[in-house]
Amino acid sequence: MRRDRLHAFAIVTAALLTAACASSEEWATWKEHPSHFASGEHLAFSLRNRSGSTARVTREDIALARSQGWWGKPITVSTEQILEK
Amino acid sequence: MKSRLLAGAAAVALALLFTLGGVGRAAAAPPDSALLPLDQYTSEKGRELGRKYAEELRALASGIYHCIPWLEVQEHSLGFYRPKHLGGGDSRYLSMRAFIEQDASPDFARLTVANQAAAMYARYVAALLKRMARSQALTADPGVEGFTIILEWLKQSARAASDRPIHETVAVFIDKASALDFLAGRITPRALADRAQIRLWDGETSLENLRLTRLAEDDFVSTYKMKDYQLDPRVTCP
Repeated sequence: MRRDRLHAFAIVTAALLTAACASSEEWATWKEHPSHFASGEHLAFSLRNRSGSTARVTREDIALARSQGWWGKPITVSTEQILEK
Repeated sequence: MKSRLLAGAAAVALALLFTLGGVGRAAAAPPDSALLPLDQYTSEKGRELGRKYAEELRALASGIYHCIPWLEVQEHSLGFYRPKHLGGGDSRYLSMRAFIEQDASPDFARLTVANQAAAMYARYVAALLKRMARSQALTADPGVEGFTIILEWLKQSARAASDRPIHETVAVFIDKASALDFLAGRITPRALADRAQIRLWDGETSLENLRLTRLAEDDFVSTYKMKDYQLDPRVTCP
């Protein structure tokens, strides 16, 4: 019985340590390579493919691509819960 | 049957025509819809600030629209709101809520929600605060008591195509004294994060208030250039 408890304790401790290490590594990845979370590239990509050739992408193109790519009302906190007008 | 197909094709062609025509006609300026309309303020103080600094708000919206095109300032989110957690009184903070468009990334997805929020804080809060506090008249106005920056992004998780998207949201409240200390270089980004109130949501679920234990240095906003993006020639980005 006591051995079972020790065993369980060891497993939980190992899991927690593993999670903590993973978190540190993941954080380091973010810190060292922030630019690979490229923003907006997929919008430009979809526009380029729409025309079949590489094109310059204007801000209006992005607004249009965004409005066409919208796929439903998101589940998110409402502004009214945070701020008052 | 044939006429039905032709009618369908014509409808598609017309829709395409209107859509493509819309691109050409679109104005270079961002729509005013980012600004909270004056008639929606619930106090005269808020409304007066909205009226007085309308041009500053438009300039702020325009700067973000053109220079940080992957950020979408939400409709009616830019204005002098009162943070709810401050309780009584009519403390008005210059506030904005923006959706961050970013590509799916396994590295980002592996971070905990708190670490994702910390990363977003590091990436965007100082950059946006600098833009929000650009007007000296606005920052010197005793009616403006602070700044609220609400950032949200698409939660990266496995989901069915029919599922509604879930957003993760971080709200950062910074009193004016702390903001001005930071912008003048009197306090560090670390100290600013310690003084700020930071709240976090996963979808509609409120998580614990966030204390940033680690704060990465991140110059993404000032250095990242979106590939093939053509900046409006009338606009200059700092």
